[in-house]
Amino acid sequence: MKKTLFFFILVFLAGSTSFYQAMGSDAYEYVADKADLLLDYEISELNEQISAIIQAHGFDVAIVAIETTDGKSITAYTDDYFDQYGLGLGPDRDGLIFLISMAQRQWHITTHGKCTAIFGGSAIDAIGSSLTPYLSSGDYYSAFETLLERIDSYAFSQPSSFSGGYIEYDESSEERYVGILAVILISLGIALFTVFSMKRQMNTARRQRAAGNFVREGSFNLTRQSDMFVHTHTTRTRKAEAPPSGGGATHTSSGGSRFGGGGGKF
Amino acid sequence: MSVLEYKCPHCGGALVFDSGTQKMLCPFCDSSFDVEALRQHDENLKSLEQENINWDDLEESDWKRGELEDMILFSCSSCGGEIMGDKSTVAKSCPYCGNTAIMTKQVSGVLRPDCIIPFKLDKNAAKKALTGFYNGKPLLPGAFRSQNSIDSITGIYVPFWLFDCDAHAAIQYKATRVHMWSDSKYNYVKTDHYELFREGDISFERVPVDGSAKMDDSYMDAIEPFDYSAAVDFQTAFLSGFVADKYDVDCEQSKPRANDRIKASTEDAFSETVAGYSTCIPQKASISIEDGKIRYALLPVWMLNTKYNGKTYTFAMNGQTGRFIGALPIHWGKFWLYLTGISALLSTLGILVINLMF
Repeated sequence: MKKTLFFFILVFLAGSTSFYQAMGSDAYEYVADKADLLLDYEISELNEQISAIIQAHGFDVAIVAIETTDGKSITAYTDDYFDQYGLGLGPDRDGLIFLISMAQRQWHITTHGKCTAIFGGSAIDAIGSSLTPYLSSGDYYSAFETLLERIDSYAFSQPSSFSGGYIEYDESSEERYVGILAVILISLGIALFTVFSMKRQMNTARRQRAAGNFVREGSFNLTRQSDMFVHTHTTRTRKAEAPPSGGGATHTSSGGSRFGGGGGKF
Repeated sequence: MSVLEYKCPHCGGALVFDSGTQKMLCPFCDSSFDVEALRQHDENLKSLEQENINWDDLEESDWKRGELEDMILFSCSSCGGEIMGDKSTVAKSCPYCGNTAIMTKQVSGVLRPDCIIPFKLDKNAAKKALTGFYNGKPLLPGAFRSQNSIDSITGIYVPFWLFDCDAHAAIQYKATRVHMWSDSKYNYVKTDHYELFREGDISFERVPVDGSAKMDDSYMDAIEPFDYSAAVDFQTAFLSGFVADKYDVDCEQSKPRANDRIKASTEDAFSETVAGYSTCIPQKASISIEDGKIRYALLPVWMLNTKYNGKTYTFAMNGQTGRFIGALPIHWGKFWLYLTGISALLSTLGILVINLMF
């Protein structure tokens, strides 16, 4: 019996965690230094750090430095880059890309999948303010190192980063949470019903409340009946106001993907 | 009666006639009613005030010559239980408490049963039914099946009072119909309130109430029903090989229980005639019992006692239909294992499905 219970628990844990384990990709260069800001060994250092973050948290990370966005807004450019290079891991393409454009002196972080929830607006702002001094002074390597440290610590501080649960902003994350909660409650309800049915079978000696077995067949005869309407009562309640839509927390790219994120100048 | 004397069924205020609508209006709550509906409502209220319970006296049938002398009474000096058997019966122990101090007496001061349903199933059938009863019980301790042993198995004719009657009922219900709709700004709930009335007749045949205080009512209720078409006139010969419990709850004491069961079934039958409402709650019921007849019958029951871990477990089988009932011990470890196991399995499947959906 204990073995069976252990099996159940194992299946339970496996189901709720394994699905969101990282499906690591080796082929991609995580740092694309098209603006020539970093030395080669710095790039490989950063690649290693990013690889560790991907392993630990199960989402994709990329750092891209470019000269110019070619007239596009930095948000659109970053989103398109994410789509174009097929970034993101798992079915929800969980991932984060940091892009810096030297011509505009702007940086932008685009998030997708569970990263949109982990790195909400306040997280992006906090990361940005810790990077800006390094970026302004031209110490790009320190800026990127700080960026990766902050990404790592934010991901660790999210208890649900492994289960794929979303915390804020994304409506589908809320639906998922409600769904999981409902599934657990319904499962518990079915289990309770089943075991109490089993328990009920254990004692079949029950007092009868009525005598339905002993009604003389065909003897029931209704001689008088009336259904009189007495009064009516109508209540009116105001509908709950629809919650404000997103507030710009997420947006959709030209490729149709739904991104989060934010950015700033340096 | 003048129409002006009607009271509002909703708030109790005095109604006034409105010549414009030709209806009775309530100036207090603005309800309006047809005069005919109010007249019927008034009659309904009168019907609800009549309630009679009339049971005829028990028709006693006389013992035939020699019958009482053919029987013997065993009285347990420990629990006071009394059973009867024919002269060949040897009672070694009390079927209720197992005590062996049994006194033998001459039968006297008991009524002659009107009828008896003879045993159709034997001791082996009862033993087989007990084994079958263990099947499909996942919470049964594994050792119970192998370790418990049948302590005693006795075929007992249990005394029952059988109640026949015609019931007349008048029942008033309060019912509602709820409609819900919404527009762009509001949700609406409209509740229509109704007063329902049902009156009619229903007859009952041979509602059994066991006349033995020693027999657990829940056990005797649970082995119902018996097929009364197999009932025959009482003869002491049927007692051969079995014992009969001597009734210690007389028919007077059994009437309240018969009344309760008959009233409950009458209310059930009338409630089924109410349809199309969101809620329906009985307000007042007047149920009269007429032409009530009581008979005394002996009905066949196998009683089995088994022992497990020093505790006695009692089972009963309808000696005619084979319906088997009883209470088994519960393995609480299995209970919690099934609860957590089923919850975990279903949750896992559900979460996997949700993960695929989002």
